[in-house]
Amino acid sequence: MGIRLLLGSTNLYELKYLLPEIVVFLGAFALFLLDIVMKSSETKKKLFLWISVLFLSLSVLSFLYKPEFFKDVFSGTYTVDTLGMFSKLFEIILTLLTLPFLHTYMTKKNTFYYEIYYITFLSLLGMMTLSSSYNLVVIYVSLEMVSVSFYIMTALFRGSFVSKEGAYKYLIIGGISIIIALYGAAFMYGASKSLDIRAIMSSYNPQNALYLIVGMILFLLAFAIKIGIIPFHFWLPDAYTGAPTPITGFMASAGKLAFFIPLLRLVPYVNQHLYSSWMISVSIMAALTMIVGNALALVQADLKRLLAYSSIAHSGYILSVLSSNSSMGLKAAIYFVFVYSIMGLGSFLVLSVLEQSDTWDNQIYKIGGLYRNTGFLSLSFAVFLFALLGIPPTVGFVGKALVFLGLAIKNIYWLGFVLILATAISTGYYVRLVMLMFTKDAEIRIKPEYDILENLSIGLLVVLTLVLGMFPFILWNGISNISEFLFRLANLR
Amino acid sequence: MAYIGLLSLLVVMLGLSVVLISLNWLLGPKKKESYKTYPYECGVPLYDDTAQTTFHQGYYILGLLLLLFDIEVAYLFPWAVVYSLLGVFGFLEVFLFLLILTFGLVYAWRKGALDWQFDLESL
Repeated sequence: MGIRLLLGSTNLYELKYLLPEIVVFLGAFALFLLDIVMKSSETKKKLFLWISVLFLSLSVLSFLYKPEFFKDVFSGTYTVDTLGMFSKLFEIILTLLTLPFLHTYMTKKNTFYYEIYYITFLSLLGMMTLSSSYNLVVIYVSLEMVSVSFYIMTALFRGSFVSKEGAYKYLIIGGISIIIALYGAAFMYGASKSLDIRAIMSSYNPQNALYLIVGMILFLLAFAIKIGIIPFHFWLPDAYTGAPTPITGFMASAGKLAFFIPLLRLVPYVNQHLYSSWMISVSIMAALTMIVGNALALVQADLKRLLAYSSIAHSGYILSVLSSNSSMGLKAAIYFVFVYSIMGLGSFLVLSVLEQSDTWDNQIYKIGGLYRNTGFLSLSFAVFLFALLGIPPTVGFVGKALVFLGLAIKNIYWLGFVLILATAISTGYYVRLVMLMFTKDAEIRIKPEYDILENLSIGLLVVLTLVLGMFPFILWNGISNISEFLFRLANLR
Repeated sequence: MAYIGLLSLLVVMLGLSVVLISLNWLLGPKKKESYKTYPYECGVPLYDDTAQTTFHQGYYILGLLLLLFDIEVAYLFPWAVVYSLLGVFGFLEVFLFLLILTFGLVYAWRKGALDWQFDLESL
């Protein structure tokens, strides 16, 4: 009797739809128990790496079991669909690619924390639930899960003042963003008496229009803080600079991907009554972010900060195309989010290998003549930089071209031209880095050491950047179907 | 008129406290002693008499743990009220809840948060 009272109409067998999440959770729990039981040693460090890799691979494998193509489970609070599946798979793979770097980075920098492994797992779990829900409460809880993990991970750099400063700024501003999200959620719930974004947005009528719009904009602002949109970006360069570099890569790739998914899910439900206010706020923020983010990156002397500002600018590119709520725009946004997570992770991972030598201190001039020290690293760094800039054989070009198409389809040409102007500004710093690496004499001696896993990881990211750039249809066909499907669902309401 | 009892309770309360405090003040012995103005710190000598120094972070960790178990009791109370209604399922849920909290405590223990032997030099 008790069970029926609590669970209501929910069925426990629906847990089979959460198989990847459950595997990730079990991984976090296993690592946690191991941390309590075992004494610190070299074997334990190795064991942690391999157990994490094992559980993440199991989680990837568990995607082979697909019970259904599209389904709302647990009374509609959790949605199993292609966008969710796709982004979850991406997040797990990105984490898998980050972990080997985390291991060597923490060992070399004498800042080994076993906690970082299971906190990574828990933030991954939060990202996975964030990517697959329309429910405001589930979104809020998973947002907290990801953010709190990120605050802790930013601070886990032994003896570094910058790391603590960044974590503290991230904590304060992240807390504000959560408050704003909740405030917006309260307005949305008040306007529609529902917690489901789909039901909220389709409950539009002239009486509740004001509250609905206020709620929607506040919700948008909260996510804008999380992804580092310009008037709210102040925490981002500090947090990204302070965090251990593989963690920065993780936050900039998997984290950014997860933070974007609820916004992407919101787009098909912005109907023509809500469109003007949505369009104005999104496009102004996006234009500011693109221009100011790139201009600020241009004047940085610190390479990690430069990449952080480039990450801000890329959030702007993705946000700009959300202003055109067409199927094409959504496709471009999804494509660019996935693609940025590949190239952003790659650039930060290369930096994390460079940082392990004593002579390196992230100053830009130190990168001079890197090609003479290490051919593989500088070539892959150049590939990632060209991808971030958007040069044709790489995947960044396809992303930017699609964003421009998505804007053009709704005749938002002015934003398209801002995009081109911002890209022109960004040429300044990306090309300067490549030029320094290949044309100058070596500034410092660097002998980076990386093992087979790290080699594989960077190699895979380079191959993905180039292959997806040359054959964009590999990713495009899937994304195209996802976007059409989301719009068809929205139009059914 | 329905709340006249409440009002009289308020009057009695105020009156009693005024009477007791003033009696204490009138009849109590008054002696000046140096330790009377000495701040109380759990029966041990003061670490620092300016009270504006930084505290060892062990205090904060212990405080957090204390807060954790305070809140645990707050959550257990409503469960205990409807215990017979929830039956085995409720028992299992609370068991899991307590298990997770216990793991938290074990974690803190293993990481040395409960060691009360601070290095006095670093205070």
